Amino acid sequence: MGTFNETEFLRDYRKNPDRAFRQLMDGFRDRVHLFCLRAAPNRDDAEDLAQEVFIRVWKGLGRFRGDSSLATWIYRIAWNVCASYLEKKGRSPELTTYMEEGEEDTEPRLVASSVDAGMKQFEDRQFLEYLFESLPEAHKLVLTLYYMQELTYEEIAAVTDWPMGTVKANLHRAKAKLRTAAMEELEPAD
Amino acid sequence: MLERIDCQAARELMDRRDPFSGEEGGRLKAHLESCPACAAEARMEERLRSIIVPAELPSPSPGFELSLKARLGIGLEPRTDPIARWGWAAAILTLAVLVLPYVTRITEAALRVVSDLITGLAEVFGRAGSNAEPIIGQLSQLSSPENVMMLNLVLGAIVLLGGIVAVGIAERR
Repeated sequence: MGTFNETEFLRDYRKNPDRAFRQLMDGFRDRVHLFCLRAAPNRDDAEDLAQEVFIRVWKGLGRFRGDSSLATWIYRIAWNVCASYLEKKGRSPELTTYMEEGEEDTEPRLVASSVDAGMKQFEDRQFLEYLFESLPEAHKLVLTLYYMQELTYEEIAAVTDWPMGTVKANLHRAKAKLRTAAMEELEPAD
Repeated sequence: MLERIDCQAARELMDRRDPFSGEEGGRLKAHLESCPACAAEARMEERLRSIIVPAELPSPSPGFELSLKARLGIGLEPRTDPIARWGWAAAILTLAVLVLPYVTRITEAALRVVSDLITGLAEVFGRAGSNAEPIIGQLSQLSSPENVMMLNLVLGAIVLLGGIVAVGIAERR
């Protein structure tokens, strides 16, 4: 995404849509697709979601006022599209009711003991992928925003509509759980 | 000499997006060299990052962009690029310049006909002793050089405006 120029893109969107479309695809296609894969591991569903995201982005560009960065705005749309998809599947990505300060830690449900013994035969990488995939969708999405899209806490709060404290808590604890579970399986203490 | 940090501080630093940057990154590195437990966690953190952000992002299927373009209606209608737009403008202006002298002659001829007609009528009405003579006298001056020039200017402006509107319409399409 290093070469994506927001100003140039917004100018081209009006004057040269073909070029603007190319810029949008080069800058965001794979990232938005991966983001959608976090919500819908099924490749076809993920592509449908990504198409929906880009359609909403393109049609909404005329209303983009630059209150946030274009990337934040695009991921906000992606978040909403994925959230609607998850809700239809009966899996809401809302996390605001847990992980609040002082609350009993019950999520993510992933702990080492829940890992099936048969998983041990997986290669490390496959095992780590399994752990990551086992996280609640919201955690996967937020971790993706943080690491891949390189959004700041503030930007993730804008994308998800969560309070900043919730964003930080979710990120920290999702990572900690993931790391702990992985450590117990792959690098057990002597 | 870097200030030493404890395991708790090291884990907080590992939580950053870019844990090994800056002076704090140096402290973290120093801590990891002397703490096998934290070093193991750092290795795991790195492996997890590579899972969350694969080195090569998975691309959607090859037809993804084509299908999206079709759904957005991009590239289906050729739009005029700036060069074509200026080409259109130049062509219209050239046409206007070429056509204007003929328009001028036609205008002049038309005004002369009208003027002659009015002069003829003035003679008829003059013989009949009509009160309309002063008005007819004014109308008979229609083909004066000033009037012809004014009319030509108006016509020229209309042709130019028409050209601009035509370029605008062509671009919208």
